[in-house]
Amino acid sequence: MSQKRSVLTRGASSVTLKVTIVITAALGGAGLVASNVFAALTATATNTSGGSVTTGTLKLQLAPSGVSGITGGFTSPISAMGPGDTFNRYIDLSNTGTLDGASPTLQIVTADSNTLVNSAPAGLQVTITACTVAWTNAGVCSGTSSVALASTPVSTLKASAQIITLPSVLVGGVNFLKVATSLPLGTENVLNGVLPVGTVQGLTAALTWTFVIQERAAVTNNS
Amino acid sequence: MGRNHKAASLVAAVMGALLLAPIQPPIASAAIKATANPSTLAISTGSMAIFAGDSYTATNPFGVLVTPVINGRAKVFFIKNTGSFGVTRFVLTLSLPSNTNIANFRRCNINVYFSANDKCKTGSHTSLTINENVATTIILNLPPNSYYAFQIRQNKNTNMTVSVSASSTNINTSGVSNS
Repeated sequence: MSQKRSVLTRGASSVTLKVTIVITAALGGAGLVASNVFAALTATATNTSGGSVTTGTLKLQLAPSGVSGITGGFTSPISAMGPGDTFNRYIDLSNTGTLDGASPTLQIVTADSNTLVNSAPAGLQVTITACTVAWTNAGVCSGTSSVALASTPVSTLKASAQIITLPSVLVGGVNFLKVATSLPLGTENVLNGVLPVGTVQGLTAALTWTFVIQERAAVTNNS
Repeated sequence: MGRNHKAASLVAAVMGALLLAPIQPPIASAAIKATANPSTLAISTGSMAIFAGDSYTATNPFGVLVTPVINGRAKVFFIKNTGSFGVTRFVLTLSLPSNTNIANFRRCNINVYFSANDKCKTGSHTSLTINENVATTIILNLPPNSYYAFQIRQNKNTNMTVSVSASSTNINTSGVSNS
């Protein structure tokens, strides 16, 4: 009987010992993990210079010509315009940003609604000519001239933006433009001081000129 | 049964696409644009205002001139330009009974009136040819704010109607301006 009890006691002690070992091992392992004592290695590399990123800017600036005698630009009004008349205004359109431009367009905005701005055949017409150097105050291009916008009715420019061809939309590019606004030489008969219906005479229009360039095509750079 | 499932799946796919489409980020639409500082150009057109009047101070009647005439007496009328354009010619029509005999038709120099019958205030008069009821082109420069005085002597007692017209094709101030 006492021998049997002794065997039972020895068996219980063995189980207790095993449980104690397992718990101790688990706690020890957890402690090792918590204290980062495991041997996994990491390596970090960082640049010691450069790495900065700046974005460019896209800017389009409109300014009146700087040539004496034609410095009014669009702020110089046109008055008493008659059929067959052409009034030239001189402006400089520059890309003053740090990004090249593309696809320049022009649109005219006006709150007026009359024959001048609504009629394609009888209303105002716009022609834009570019010069590689500044225009003289007599309207002469001593460099190379090119058509930026062929004769286009204001009604068309009012309806939607139209593509124009500028010599340079690159950074720093300056376009010397002669903007000619003309009234077609139509036939209107004034009888006994009475103007005909739908006349282009005695009208007013305020035209706001909006030139726009898009960002040049996106690029992928390797260096 | 299978057909119904396919139809239901198709409807579900379409509905899903429609619901998701508005919240999808735009692709390749990030290009920026630059707008130049807008500038406004004010434009006004001029107008023609050529009419007949019974004095050199007459204002635009927006109609014909009707004036009495007496057999054998000189009658004076004026063609005025109060518009913003000058013209190189205008068309004059004198409405009188048919078979009216126009004994003489005269004018003074520009901006000169008849101070008495057949007598210009300054200078001498110039004779013209015109027939009743016939549109006659008078080739004379008529700048803005100017007039011509005309004198007619004929053989009827009646009311004469003076009508004048001018065409924009005869404006003499069109051209090119730089500023």
